[in-house]
Amino acid sequence: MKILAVCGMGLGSSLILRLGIEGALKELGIEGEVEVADIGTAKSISCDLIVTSQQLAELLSSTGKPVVAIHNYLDKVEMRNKIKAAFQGEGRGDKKGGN
Amino acid sequence: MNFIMSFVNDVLAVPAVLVGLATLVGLVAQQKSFSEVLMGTTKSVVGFLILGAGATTLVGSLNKLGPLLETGFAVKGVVPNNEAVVAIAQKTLGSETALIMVFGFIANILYARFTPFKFIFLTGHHTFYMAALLSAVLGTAGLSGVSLVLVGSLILGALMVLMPALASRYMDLVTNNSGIALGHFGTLGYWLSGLIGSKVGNRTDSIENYKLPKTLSFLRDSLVSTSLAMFLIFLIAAIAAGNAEVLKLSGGQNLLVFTLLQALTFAAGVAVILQGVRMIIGEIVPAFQGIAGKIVPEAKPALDCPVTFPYAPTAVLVGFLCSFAGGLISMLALGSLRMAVIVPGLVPHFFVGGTAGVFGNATGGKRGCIIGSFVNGVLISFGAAFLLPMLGALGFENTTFGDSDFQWVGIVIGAVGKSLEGNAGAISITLIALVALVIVVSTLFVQRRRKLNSY
Repeated sequence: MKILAVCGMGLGSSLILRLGIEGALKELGIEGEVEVADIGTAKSISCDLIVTSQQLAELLSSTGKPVVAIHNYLDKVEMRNKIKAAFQGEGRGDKKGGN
Repeated sequence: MNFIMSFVNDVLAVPAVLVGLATLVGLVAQQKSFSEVLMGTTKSVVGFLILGAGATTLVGSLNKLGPLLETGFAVKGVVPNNEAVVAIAQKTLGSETALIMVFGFIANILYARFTPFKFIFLTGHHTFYMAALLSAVLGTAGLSGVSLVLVGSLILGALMVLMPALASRYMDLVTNNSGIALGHFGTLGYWLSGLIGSKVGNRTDSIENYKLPKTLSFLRDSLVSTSLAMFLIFLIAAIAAGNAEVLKLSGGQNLLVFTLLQALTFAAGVAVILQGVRMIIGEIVPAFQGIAGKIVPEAKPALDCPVTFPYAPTAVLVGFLCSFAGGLISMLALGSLRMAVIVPGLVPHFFVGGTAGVFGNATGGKRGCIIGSFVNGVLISFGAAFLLPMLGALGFENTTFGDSDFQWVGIVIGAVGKSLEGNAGAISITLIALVALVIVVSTLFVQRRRKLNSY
């Protein structure tokens, strides 16, 4: 399982997302690898799930991959619930995880 | 014995190895597995080497732009780009920058532990860029070696708690007290925008009541917006310089093809540098956060400026446009004042101007957003122009820092250096005393405000 954390420059916010995702994966007991990327190159990187902000999620919807949009980057509950929902969505074959 | 001595000396002189060592220590302290330690350390070293490769590409393009602007407009034209100036600085000041960054992280933890400013600054690339700025301006002022690293680290650590503290009151308004702190070195502009908003506007008249078309969304892609902006700048400069000058620089290539390729080469250089920065900070920041969390568990993490964007997406775009307008007007003003002409860059105005818009909107609604971000645009243009002479040899490279805190810090240190005429001891003592004074005064200020609030 490979997850891509995306922000505008792939420097600051995406790294915070990566830390949040890694925490959520640990709590949920899911094995996974998290990589950061900027919005420009994100589309060319293969992954199973994309985690990003609300605004960038719209730009990434064309990838066809499930996209999770995070509102508050520090909210551990939001992150865990949305990651969990995305994984369950995948299990059912529903490709539009998150919101 | 000789072999060991030369090995130790060379390790300390190579910034890439220093960064690798810091990452290694951080990862081991977190008790990561052997393979994670190996991967993280290798990546951070390679990241630093990538930085140098990107700088070479980018300087090639900037060296073509300089003569075009000078022939065309008879002024020195400068494009502010943090990545460019930092990557260029690494060629001469790499070790100093790496050491200031590492000791700055440690200083941040100590300040957070022992002062009322409980912030841990997690925007790693800005810590790195500020370390580069400090090594450049302190070096130009006359400091070197241990004193340069010591003074630089003390200043960096202080900024890493003081700037989030300065932003915190308005940040709570922006995020409705969700507990996120802002860790970004454009904070002087955000604070000013918030202050102006609170004076001129009405925060209930939010700009978020309006919706903007989505056609501007390409701006969020920094690679595309950098290419576009650089193409326009190159094209205008090339037309002004005339075809003869272009042919001389391009070796006979067509004007349109030449300008397009140079603009895209610049963007390619930035993309390479960003990849390097990503690899350097990707391992150091989590290690730093882990250690900080154990020593100062109650500290708030201070995050990069786009964390504010979801709270006011319309204000981001309006803020960008108004900040950019401020940059354009400043460019004309600087030209008529015969100062270095600062060409407004899309990337700094998008991120910094956008955040200034969010702050202005949070305190003063739509008027606050528009006026606050416009003033931010003027601030970062004039700041860049005044910073240029303080950067020493780096100031000749046609690029400089684009965000307000790099600028005011550089200008203040440069002014102290000039007034003490290169006396390294006096400059060090003055700067350390200044840091101590600011910490004490702001501590008293915070305590007074807390007392007032508790009545």
